[in-house]
Amino acid sequence: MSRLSLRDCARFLLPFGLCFLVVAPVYPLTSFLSRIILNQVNVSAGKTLQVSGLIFSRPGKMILQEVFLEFPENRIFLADRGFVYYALSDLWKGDLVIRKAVMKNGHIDRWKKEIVQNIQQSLIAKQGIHQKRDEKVFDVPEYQNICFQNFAVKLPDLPGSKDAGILLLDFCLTASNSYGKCQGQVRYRGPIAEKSFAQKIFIQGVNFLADVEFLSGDLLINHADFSYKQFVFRGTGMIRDLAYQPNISIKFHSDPVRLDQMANLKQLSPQGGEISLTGELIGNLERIDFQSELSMPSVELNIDKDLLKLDNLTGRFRYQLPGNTLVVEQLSGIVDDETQFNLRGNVINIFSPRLDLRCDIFQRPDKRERSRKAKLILAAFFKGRWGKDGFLGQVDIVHDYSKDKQYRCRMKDLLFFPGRSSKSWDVKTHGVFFEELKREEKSSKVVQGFEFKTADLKFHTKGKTTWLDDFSMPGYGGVVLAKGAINFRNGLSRYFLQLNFENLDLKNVKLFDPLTCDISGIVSGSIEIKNQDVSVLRGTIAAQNFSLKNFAPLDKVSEFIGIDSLREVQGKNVIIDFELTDQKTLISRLDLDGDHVQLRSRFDVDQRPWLDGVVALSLPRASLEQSKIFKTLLSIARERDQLLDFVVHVSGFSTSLRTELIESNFRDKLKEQIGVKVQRYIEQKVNQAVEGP
Amino acid sequence: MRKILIVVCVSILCLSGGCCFLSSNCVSSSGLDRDFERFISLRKKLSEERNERRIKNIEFAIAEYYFKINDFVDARLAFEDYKKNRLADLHILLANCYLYKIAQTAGQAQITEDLKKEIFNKQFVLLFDRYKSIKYKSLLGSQYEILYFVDKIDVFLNGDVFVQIVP
Repeated sequence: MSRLSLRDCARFLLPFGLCFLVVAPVYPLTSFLSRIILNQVNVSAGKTLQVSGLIFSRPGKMILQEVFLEFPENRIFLADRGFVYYALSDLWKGDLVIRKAVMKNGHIDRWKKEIVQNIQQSLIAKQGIHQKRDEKVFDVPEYQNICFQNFAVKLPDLPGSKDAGILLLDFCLTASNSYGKCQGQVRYRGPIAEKSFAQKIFIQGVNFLADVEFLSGDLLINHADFSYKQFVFRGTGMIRDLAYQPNISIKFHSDPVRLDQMANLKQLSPQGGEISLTGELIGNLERIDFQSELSMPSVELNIDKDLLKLDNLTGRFRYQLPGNTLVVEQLSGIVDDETQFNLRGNVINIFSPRLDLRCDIFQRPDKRERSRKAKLILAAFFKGRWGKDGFLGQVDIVHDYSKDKQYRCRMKDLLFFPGRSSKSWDVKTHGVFFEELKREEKSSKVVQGFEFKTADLKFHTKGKTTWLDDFSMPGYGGVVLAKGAINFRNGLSRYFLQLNFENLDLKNVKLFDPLTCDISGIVSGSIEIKNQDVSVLRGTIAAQNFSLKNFAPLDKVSEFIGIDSLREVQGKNVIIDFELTDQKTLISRLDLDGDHVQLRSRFDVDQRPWLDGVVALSLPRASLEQSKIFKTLLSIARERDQLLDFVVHVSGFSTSLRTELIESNFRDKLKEQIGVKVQRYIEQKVNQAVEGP
Repeated sequence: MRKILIVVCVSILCLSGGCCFLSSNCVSSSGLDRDFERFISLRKKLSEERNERRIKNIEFAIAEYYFKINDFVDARLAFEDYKKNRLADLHILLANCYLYKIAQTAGQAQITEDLKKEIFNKQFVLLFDRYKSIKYKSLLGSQYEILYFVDKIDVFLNGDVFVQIVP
């Protein structure tokens, strides 16, 4: 090799050699420095702060490995790695000033009863939420601050759920003396309920910003904002004794949110409707009460081209952390100006809801009579679980018929679940009870009840119309079938229900006013319930091989004739055609073919209740002769007919009926045989029996 | 001249007769005087009378007098007081009929409905006739006849329809 080439080679290698000479001592130096600093940190912090490794990755940046931070009462903070950013200019001055710190994959533990665990980066990577990590590093240069990325908080396990919910926080804490500022984002990934209902959800983009101040152990929250999509909550309050026994008291309100800005309501095209929430968060970490009030003045929704108006929606809620119980103190509103609803009760464990709710439906008075109270039409009670498969539990529906009478439908083991097509539902019930209740001072007494073992119902909705597609309820050796529809339009509910029942073998069924009686037999019939301009209930009931008792007209006849055997009538057929409206009850036909009596009648009763009707009776002579008086009268009248007919006009208030014998051959024959005085005497005797004038 | 006097006298008589015919409560001045005298004497007797039945008749006649002279306010008070002190009987029914007529004239629909419930609160049976008739002569000399039908009550006063009550 020539001298020249050797020199060239030396010139070429010189920079590398110089670099080696400069850099080679740096690693041992930095390593030495880091060990010194590390030991210094661990020694000075004692049990409070421990770091297993420290690397100077580049000027101005340190990497802390396995950071362990201990708080009072053995509460700890762990982080896999921490990045500490410092300014070299400060180092030359002899100060180590941390401009920014980033903790990665941290977790806290033993923080009271919360179970908080680290979530491995690999898990987070799999779930695909690390992609925006870099965007979440906040830089607040005017203060020293510490930032946390992917700070995972594992929520307590839901009973029966494999996966726990994970809160992932990206946030920065900025502190200056007693003043602090916290800003960041929260993401949640996990189930919202346990096994049957659990569905994994992923919520991201919950932003928060809080200005806080430390005042002798208390954390004063000057201002805290939380936002998620268009929902913004603003709060202020205090956490007392933050380090040992945190006691939270935060009042908040939401910015009004317009329903037309909510994406999931877009298909309903809401018009108007601003919803706002005010509330308070109080309690300690073991028992937090979340009280809130909701209000929305008015909104119009478009459901399948039907306009639904919702007014005065107000609600009062209380959420209790132990048991995850949501207490609905009141949720009420007015639908289409006419119908008012009021919901109250408890939702126990909202992640796997167990419902205990009552919903009252009121009919509001006419616009001209708005000073009057709304009338309770229906009260529905729900007790059961709401899961992935739908609702399973007990439902009671109570209808107040009058001041002292109620009707209740109790459905036990009811399963309510979505049907095959959209907006259709199926209901299956094991154990259906229809009961007539008599109201007493403090409770209600069951007057009569019907029990069916099963019932199947299919229905669907379109707009404001609900169609009852199919209903069948076998029982008592027969079956009850129904079809119908209910529609809310222009503030009025219009409904139509066709009910058919076939061959029900019933015992001692108490019929309704004015047909108050106990009837047994094989009962068939149909009932049509319709409400268009006026509500009408009309139908036909027929009973075969029947037995009838406690029927006032027959009791009267029995009293009048003096034959007790007429009090209970048995026979082949009884047919009742009736029509009930708000104004009047019309029994257009009551035909009864008994063994000892034949009856044809027609009568109506108005609201007062004034009854007016005509009854045609046929009684066998032999029956009448059981009475001594009638035996005498029959012999006086020289009556020979085997079947005696009477046509009677009945009129009067139902408690004081007046009876006029319109037609009777027997009466006419008797009249011919006896004088006026005897007639008066007989009539007087009869009237004494019924307290006449 | 005599003819003119006859025509004037006949015209006056016709006019006064017509007025009396048109007025349902037409009572001759001499009749009113007679009733007034009876009313005064009945009021005197009322304080002295001890017989329950007679007291009942006197009280009814006093109330009846107020109605006759168109003092409906006092008549209503008198009939209401009368009802309070008596058990249900024929006089109560007549008192209710008077109150019904007063309320009907005043257009008090609710009161008439309540009175109907009281009037039709008795049950009875008619076997041989379409109605039952009861007569009563008051101390003022008024003849009442009450016809009970199953679906209405007709009350006649001195042979004329006084009131017809249907539910």
